[in-house]
Amino acid sequence: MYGYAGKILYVDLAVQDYKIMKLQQAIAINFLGGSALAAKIIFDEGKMDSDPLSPENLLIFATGPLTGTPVPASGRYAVCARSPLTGIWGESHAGGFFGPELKKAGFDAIVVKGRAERSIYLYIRDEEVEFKSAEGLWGEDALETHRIVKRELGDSKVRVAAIGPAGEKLVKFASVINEDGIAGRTGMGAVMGSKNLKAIAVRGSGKIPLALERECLEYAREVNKQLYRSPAGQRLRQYGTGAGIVGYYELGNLPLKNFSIGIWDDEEVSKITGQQITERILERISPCTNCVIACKRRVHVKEGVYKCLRGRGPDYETLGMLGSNLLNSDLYSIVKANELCDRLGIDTISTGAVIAFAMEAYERGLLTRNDTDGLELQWGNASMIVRLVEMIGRREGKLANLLAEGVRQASNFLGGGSEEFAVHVKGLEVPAHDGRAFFDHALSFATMNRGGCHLAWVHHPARGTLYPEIGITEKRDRFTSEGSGLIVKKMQDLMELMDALIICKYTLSAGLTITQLLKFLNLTTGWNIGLEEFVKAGERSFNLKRALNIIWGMTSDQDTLPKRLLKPLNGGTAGHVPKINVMLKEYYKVRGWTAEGAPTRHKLKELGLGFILSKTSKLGIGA
Amino acid sequence: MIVVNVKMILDSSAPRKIKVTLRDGATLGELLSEITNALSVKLHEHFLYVLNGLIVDVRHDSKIILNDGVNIIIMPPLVGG
Repeated sequence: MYGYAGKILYVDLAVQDYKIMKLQQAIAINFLGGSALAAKIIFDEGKMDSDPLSPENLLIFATGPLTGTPVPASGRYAVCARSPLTGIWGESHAGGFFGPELKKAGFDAIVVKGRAERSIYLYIRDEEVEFKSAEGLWGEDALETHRIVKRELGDSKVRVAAIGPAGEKLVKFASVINEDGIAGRTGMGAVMGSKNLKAIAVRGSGKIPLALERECLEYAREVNKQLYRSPAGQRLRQYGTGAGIVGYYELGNLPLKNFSIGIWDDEEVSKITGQQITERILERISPCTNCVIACKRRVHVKEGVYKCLRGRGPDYETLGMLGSNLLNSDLYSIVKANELCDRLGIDTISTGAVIAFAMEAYERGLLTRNDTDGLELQWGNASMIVRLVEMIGRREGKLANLLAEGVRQASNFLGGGSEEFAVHVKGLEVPAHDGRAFFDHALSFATMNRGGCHLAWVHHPARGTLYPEIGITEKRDRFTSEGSGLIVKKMQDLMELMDALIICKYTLSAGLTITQLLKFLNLTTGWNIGLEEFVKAGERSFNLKRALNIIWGMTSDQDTLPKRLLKPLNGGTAGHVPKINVMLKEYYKVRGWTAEGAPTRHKLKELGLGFILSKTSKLGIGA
Repeated sequence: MIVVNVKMILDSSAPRKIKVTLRDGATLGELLSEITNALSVKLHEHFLYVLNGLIVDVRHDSKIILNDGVNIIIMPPLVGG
């Protein structure tokens, strides 16, 4: 099968055995790959009532048909499972080199089940799988684990995805870390830790078969030139994603003080930008596989408390969540906190969010010094923030142990009205984008399958990035609720496609069109899929994940925004607040769902998802 | 005469704030020409132009008539999520 390795590796850690199954062409055509393929496998083969941290919860590492091909920015992979942070659909994606290597080793996906009796890591080399002891690695940080595994295997080119101490200690937002890529969100690192799986090392020498190889290479070369020259591509390469900090601040999109204020000092904002990183500490840019956009950076701090610190530079989300959201304008402390998050293996977004929550609880007297192990949780206290990051990643002390459960659980425990400032959707902490600045974003936060997730990029049309192939031909007013349902549905479905193929979403910022994306899929696979069928694959994936969420107990009253984000602010949002209930009604309607937010029988059949009905007859799905 | 408050966010330096005086009934297009001439700054179509909080498209909206005291922010294309 062109574009695919054609095989899925099934690993049972409990018995340290594995089997290799063929990827069915019909599954590939309907679900493509990535998180969509993972959702299909979990629906078909997962035990629906299993706890996210139980051995039965399936953990899937998936690539897509574009992964590792010459297609621009195709070096990504997805990690998916039922999330221990939210209890619903969990997925996170990472760049770097691990995904292409997995495919070259002969697999489109790895499905992991069971729990190893003692900690282990997997070594996959061209369809050979070894279960190796990780007892000497347990307790090591993720970056050190990469180094030790490579040394132990005697192969510097092996690619490693690992967890740090946070994953071992089941921090609910623990991440999976590979070299130059982080699958940060929804606690996939905790699922890995619950299985006593410290790392997966892969090495492949295979070649991914392409249907029209020469044409694909030529077209990739042409599109790469386009992406390289585009204004957004140039800007991302020059300044990284942190280039957006000041602009987003002006629009009221950048979170400040746990999303509670709309104006900060201009000078403070300008200290934590991508421009500052480039001017002061950039060592080199660090592109992922086949990427000319190259937004990632390596930095080197040459002065101050963190002098000599070298590592991955913070991206926009990290600058926002560990910076402005905590009123922290000390760039070097953000670099340090980012490095700690990578080493310990925790998500920078959720980490920033739980620290902001704790700071506000402290300010309101819901937490005192007796609860904080002596820490003064003051806004902008850079050294305290760095210390608290480390404590959370290691679950050190009472406060860190509470925060390691995520904002929702911490708020449930504290009570005292703390839900007023607990900024999460369905348990997933909201990232560095304020839905009051882009109303379409607000609706998407309320309805994304993994909770408070910004990766449907529904603010693109308001920023002027249009998608005529799916009928998005006019720039959106960022403060309008009218018509939001349709725009959000279309953008969510499009981004499902990106996460199935898999290709980096920054290609869209740099001007990649849906037509080009489809052409790449057809050149790679040799299929002749039309636009309608292509777009429908995204909608199919979105609805399948929605059905899984309903099976796992999610209800439509969770399709909402945190109370904090429904209060007007001054500054860039100028007092505007989205009419979320009105938007939701329209959204359910255009999705073809019931008034309770469940896919109808008609919708499921239209999407080829009739198989869902067999497991969901009592859950309102398929009415 | 009207006065327009302009904030320009440039990558290489701190945000620049200026006031531009224009004739009554002046348009967005005239404002941008004035800025280009006065500041010797090249304003690209793909920049973001935020007029009193709303993002406008200068390719289509250049004939918008400006009022006294309006605020405009000009910034390079947004990136970052």
